Amino acid sequence: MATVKAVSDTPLVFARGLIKRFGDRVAVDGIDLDVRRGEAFGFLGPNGAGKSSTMRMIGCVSPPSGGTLRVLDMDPARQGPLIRGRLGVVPQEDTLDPELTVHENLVVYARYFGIPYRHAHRKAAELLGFVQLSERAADKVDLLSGGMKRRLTIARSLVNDPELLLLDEPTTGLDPQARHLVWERLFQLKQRGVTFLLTTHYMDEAEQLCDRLVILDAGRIVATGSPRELIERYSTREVVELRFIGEDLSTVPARLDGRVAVERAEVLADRVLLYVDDGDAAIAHLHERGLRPSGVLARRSTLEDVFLRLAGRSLVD
Amino acid sequence: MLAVPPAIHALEHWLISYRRIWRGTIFSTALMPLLYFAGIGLGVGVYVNQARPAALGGTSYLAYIAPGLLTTAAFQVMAGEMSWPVFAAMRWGQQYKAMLASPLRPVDILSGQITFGLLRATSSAVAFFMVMVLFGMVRSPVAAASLGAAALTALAVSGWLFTASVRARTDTVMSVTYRFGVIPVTLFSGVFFPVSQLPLVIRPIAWLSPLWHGTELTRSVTLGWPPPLPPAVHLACLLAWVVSGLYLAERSINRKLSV
Repeated sequence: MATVKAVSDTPLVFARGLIKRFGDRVAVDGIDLDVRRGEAFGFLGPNGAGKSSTMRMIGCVSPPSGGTLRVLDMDPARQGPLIRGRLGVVPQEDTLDPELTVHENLVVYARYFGIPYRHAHRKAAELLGFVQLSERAADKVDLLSGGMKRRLTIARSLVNDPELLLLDEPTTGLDPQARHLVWERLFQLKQRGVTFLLTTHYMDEAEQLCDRLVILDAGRIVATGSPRELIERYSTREVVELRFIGEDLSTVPARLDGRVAVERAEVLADRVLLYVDDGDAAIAHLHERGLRPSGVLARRSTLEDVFLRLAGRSLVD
Repeated sequence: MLAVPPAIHALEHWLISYRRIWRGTIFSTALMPLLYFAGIGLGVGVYVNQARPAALGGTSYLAYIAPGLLTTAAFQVMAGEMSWPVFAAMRWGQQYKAMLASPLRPVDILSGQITFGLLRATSSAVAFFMVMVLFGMVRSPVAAASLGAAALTALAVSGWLFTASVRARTDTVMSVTYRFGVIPVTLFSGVFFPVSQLPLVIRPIAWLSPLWHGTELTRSVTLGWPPPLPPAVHLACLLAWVVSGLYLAERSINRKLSV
């Protein structure tokens, strides 16, 4: 017997041939997207790939230059305020109010959504607990560290219990410890079933947080899938990184004979990457061949390798 | 239940920020009229009254300039509110961007900012009015209409100055606007002396000034003098400034925020 799904299949974000132009420059060049409810969806790409432009169009603050876009099954051009009322936004740059306290920032923001004061105060206290900033509630925002400001911005984006959370480079500029704290909170949100869209140029962030992602380069989607699928499709199981002192790196691949299956070799400015299935076997073979690298590392393939394969360069310049 | 217009929520932001600094501004708002009255009204006034007692139709110089000063207070406070705070909210603190991520539209953001400026400007005029009452310069309840004229004068410049600040790429625009806009307008709009004293060539410039129209209206209701033009013409000129300024301001903020 056929069953009827209780949950609507309509994607929260639906885009076909979405374009954003700034004068002559094309920032987003015809992308297609379907973001489903409950999904943690990522945009991975280097600076200038079109991630933030896409995010701003989805956030209904930047009109598309072409193509179709629907957010929460509504039209951003005509129903922008209605859609924004149901979104949570963590923008790339800090837009906290430096003149106000941590608590006031949340309350004032809640008021923009028309949330009554009493509820706004209660929600602010609850969210500050969630991002571990309760003790700083009365401090001015200026006194917070970069990581704390990010956590506060995440708390702020949740005041209206959004159906879709947009996070634009949520951990850029943070030290590793602060990044992990942010990830921890985002992971908790994910476990609660919050749908989010995240842009990042950190492959580890995309791997840790995203169920599915698109890799963007120069305004186009170059690959789509789960982190695991992308790695399996575009890279080998393992990668051997070799560093040499005073040698011409470009000659290294040619000095390996065919006994170890090197599927692909990438020569970067400071190292050579060998894409292999068995890293340890490859290293043993190198020594037999008389190659004496100054540094050797065998590791698993990452999204960085996927990007290198697809775009021909590194994610982070 | 009546829905609160979204612009009120933008206004709330400025009111909550103002809570932190209101003591400082109350002091200066109340002190400014007293200083002006003492320094120019009494100091220069004594000199003017003695030298040419009939020049102002028998009115003391202090009584002559008081309505103009009241209007100027509203004008200058609005000019202040439309300069750095707008530039900072656009460029530094990014408060406008934060508001834009919510259901607020650019026009709501603009309305909230201008309403806050209008509240501040009107409260400065009220402070001046109270000092005028203390000095015995308010003889008829009609004089209270000067508060409306002052508020309208402030509104007349709000959109234009908002436009300059929201479009500004650097903060030098603020000081240039103040030096070459706000100060000359203050000096040559018939606040301290009748515009008829100006050379004929530059008099038409003064006639364009919203502060001149506002000052003539406040002076008319405070001293009971007929204004140089019919009151409806002064009002129409001020309204033309209001409408054109707000139109420009809305266009500018839309263009700046929706890219």
